[in-house]
Amino acid sequence: MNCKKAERWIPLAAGNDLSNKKAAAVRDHLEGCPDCRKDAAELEHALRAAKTLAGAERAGDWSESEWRSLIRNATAVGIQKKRIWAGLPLRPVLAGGLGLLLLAFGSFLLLKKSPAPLITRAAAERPPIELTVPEGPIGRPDVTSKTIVSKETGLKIIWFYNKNFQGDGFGK
Amino acid sequence: MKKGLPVAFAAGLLLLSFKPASAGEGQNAGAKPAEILFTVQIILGSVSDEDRTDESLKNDPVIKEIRSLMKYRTFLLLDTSLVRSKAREPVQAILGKQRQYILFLNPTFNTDDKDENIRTEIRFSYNFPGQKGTDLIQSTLALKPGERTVLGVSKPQGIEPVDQGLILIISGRLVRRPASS
Repeated sequence: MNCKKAERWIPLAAGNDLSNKKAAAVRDHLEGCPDCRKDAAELEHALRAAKTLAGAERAGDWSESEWRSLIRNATAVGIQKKRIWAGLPLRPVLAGGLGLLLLAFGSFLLLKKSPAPLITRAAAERPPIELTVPEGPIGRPDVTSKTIVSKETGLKIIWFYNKNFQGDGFGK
Repeated sequence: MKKGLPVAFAAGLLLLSFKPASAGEGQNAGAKPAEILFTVQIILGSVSDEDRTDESLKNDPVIKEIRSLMKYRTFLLLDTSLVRSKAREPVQAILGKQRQYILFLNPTFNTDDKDENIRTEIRFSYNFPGQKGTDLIQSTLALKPGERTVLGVSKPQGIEPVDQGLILIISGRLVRRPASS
């Protein structure tokens, strides 16, 4: 038996609430452990003092179960460990955590950028060229044109003249 | 406080189902525009006694038609390209072996009970690196799907021999009909 288990059983052994086998185990541990023996002695001393005090107040008719409860409460205060989340309600905390998790995931999806376009090696090696959207309104061209439509096939030919009005290519 | 868990779960689902509108989907969110595939050929026509027309063009009915109407006898294919565009979304293509030609298209697609019509703004310019760009062709075309239309310009740079002309043969066909979801 280790000291941790002995700490739990010593108050019960002091109140004769342990089975014979467990009480014997506690006794064996106390023989070999001076620290636990000291704690057990202090506990027995306190128990006796409490009984004496109770006797003086004519409270000697307390039942064993009441004594056990008193001893448990008295010893539990000393060994209780404080936890950070102690006192917080479990379910709302879990709900809030899950909500934050979903919010973070949603934000990730919204902010995720589309993958960069793949640039082939051939495209990367080409000389750069500046792309510009044509200036000025389209639909009112400043380039003069002539349209002819073939009577036989319906083929439409639109011929644009250059700035010098040179040549239209028609005729034979 | 006991309702916190389902509320948080519902909020998470709402966030996951939310999808931001991308650029260009502002006013017609959910509507899919028509998609048009243009086929473009750039051909250099020239007057010459000897016919040195490219093999790929010799039996082309449009080239035969051009030959019967115009004075050009030799036709050299400079470049061919497919340009895919969504309706009302301008698109630009760079053509030519030296990437000297820029084709700008801004198509729309109209349909009624009788027929379908592709209408596109077109601007074709020469933009050789180091030189000032020149608009060669600038117009608005009405095309029937699949119909080939010829556009051309003589002496595109103004410095060539007068017997040369740059010819653009363009056709468009619908590859996806407009749909509203």
